[in-house]
Amino acid sequence: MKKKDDKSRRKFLRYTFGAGLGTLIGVPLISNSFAQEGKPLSGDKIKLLTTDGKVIEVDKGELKNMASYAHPAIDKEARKGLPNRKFVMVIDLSRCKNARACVESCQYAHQLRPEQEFMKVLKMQDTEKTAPYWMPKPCFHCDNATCVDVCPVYATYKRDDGLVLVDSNRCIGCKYCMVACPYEARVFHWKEPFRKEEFEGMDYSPETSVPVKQGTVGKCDFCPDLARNDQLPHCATACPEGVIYFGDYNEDTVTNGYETHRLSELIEKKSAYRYLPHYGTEPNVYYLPPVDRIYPFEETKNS
Amino acid sequence: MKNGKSFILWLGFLGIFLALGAFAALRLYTQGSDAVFHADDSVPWTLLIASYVFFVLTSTGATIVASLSMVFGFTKFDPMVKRAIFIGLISLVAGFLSMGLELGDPLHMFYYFLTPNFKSPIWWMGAFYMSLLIILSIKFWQIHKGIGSVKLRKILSITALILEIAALTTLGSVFGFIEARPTYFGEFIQVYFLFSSIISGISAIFFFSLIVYKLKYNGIPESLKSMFESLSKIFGAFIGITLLFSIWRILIGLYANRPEFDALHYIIDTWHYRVEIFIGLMVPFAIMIIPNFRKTFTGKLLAAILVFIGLGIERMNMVMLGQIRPIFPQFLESKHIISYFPTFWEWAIAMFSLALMIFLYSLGEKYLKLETHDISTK
Ligand code: SF4
Ligand code: SF4
Ligand code: SF4
Repeated sequence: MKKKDDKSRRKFLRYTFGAGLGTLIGVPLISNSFAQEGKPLSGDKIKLLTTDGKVIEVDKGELKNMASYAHPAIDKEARKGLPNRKFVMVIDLSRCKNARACVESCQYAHQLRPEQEFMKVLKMQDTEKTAPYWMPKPCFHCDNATCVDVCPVYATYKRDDGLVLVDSNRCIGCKYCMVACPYEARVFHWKEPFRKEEFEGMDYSPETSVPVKQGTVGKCDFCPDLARNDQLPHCATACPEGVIYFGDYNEDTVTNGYETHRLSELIEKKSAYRYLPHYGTEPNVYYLPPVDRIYPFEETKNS
Repeated sequence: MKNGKSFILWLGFLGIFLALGAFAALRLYTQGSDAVFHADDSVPWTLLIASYVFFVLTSTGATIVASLSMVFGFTKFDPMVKRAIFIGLISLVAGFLSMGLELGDPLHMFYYFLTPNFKSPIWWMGAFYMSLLIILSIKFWQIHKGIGSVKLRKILSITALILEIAALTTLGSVFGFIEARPTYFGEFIQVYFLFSSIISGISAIFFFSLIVYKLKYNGIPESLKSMFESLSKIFGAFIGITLLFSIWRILIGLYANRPEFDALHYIIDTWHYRVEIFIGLMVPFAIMIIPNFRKTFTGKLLAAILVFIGLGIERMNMVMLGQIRPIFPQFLESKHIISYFPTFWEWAIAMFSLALMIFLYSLGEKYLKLETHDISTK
């Protein structure tokens, strides 16, 4: 991938986010957005991504307004999920250089302490002889999530849009989900949360996981509050290498903000795989294999 | 009068542990989990889960033994039934104390009733043990007051026995169902819990009643000798079975070439594992199978104390075994074993539960006439 300079990417992202995740990631949605014949053109131009990774320019007046959701949902709404969605993430292991921008942006947004990580970057090595590589690991939002099955009070739950969320207002802190998750994706809030004053008075939502509640469990939530506002998760936006793609299984489309792909094509042509499928958990995070690496593996100061 | 004074002194001594435990609990609620716990996401379950397992299994064990008389009609064991049920009750309370303090947010417990997840083994385990607490209380009250028809008692006793088996095997499934942690040994652990629960219960019955008999009569009363002899034989047999299970657990672990079993390789080299096997099982087994030792008062008491301590440590080892090796594979560093050993405050809370159990027992022995030989209705 040709790397664009940061400034132009930010600007680009601002445009596309303004247009909405729907238009950002899906051909069907993009074509929907042109279905409004007879609507007067506004003269304002806006940039859009197509699934081929091409940037096209269209008039704002041509766009159909996609659903915009409240921000963020609480109570019942937060348990239902976004209609007709099934969120997925694709992580390209060939590009990760352990920049840890994903980790830090996620920590910042989720009021985590420095030692707490919803996204972990692990040093992996399959055998002594194979090359090591970095593996960013969020929660896999499994379709058959063991954490959901074991939670005695349904504090951890699965939504229609595929997300597995934790409701800290209900969690009793038994930590069974932590022991049961085969991917060690969960984090316990042992200590007093960081930046308490900043988050004080804020309405808690399982969609934002803040304000953090000591004595309960947390984990990567796929940033549904951002998805509601048609934005990519913090980690995906923060990654300077475009390692993290986010999208919708139903639309068969994922994007990292630079490029958009068909998920089915990544699975077929680039051997996208899921981790430890033998547990039968059906994760919603796919990995692109760490082959043809862009950066040679280096132990960084972050490791 | 002298008796009364030493009783107060004894309660005062237990009070030290109760106060220390209460202080640890206070720390937990004022300063947060990290002021008490090891606080490591890789080892989310601490000594308090082990302590919970220890006490609730002691409870089910003691009450299963009580059912020898109440369900199966071995009237020989009548004299220890009331005491066994009382031990079952207070041990359950001690277990709940440990669990309550392990929970990060016990105030949310009302969701346990409001939004139950029937798929969760921990939910069922809680339900069985809570029902057991109620049934055992009624049973104890019936015996204490000499009320209730024989038929009603029988029905209650059978229900209690079913609940006991259900509770302890469900507790096993809490660990055994975790597919990603083979060092919890799947369904094997449920059967292991059944046998080890029985020896845990007998050791508690022996421990408390022998000390009482020593203080009161300077030994086991003649009329009860044959009951204790039979119980000792059962005790010995079940220690043997538990030992066999423990040995097979090690062998399976060492034989299986799975990386997760690094934890087992590690743990068998630790002093606490040796205490569990040698002091907690082998020595008491030897005492119980050699008649000359088994028949003595000291032999019985010693075996009971060793099993009691050994099983306490076994529960800790068991809970650790599943957690001290990170389970996420391919991560080379995960070959490391996480160095977890309970903190001082975790011990303080475990001792809190033990002290509470002994405290309640002392009160029970003094005020509730636990030495009731006749358990039939008036
Ligand atoms: S990765 Fe773990 S925490 Fe996340 S959904 Fe799957 S089982 Fe649950
Ligand atoms: S720690 Fe909280 S979320 Fe996890 S199983 Fe227990 S109650 Fe559920
Ligand atoms: S999706 Fe959101 S919660 Fe998950 S790792 Fe990324 S930023 Fe963190």
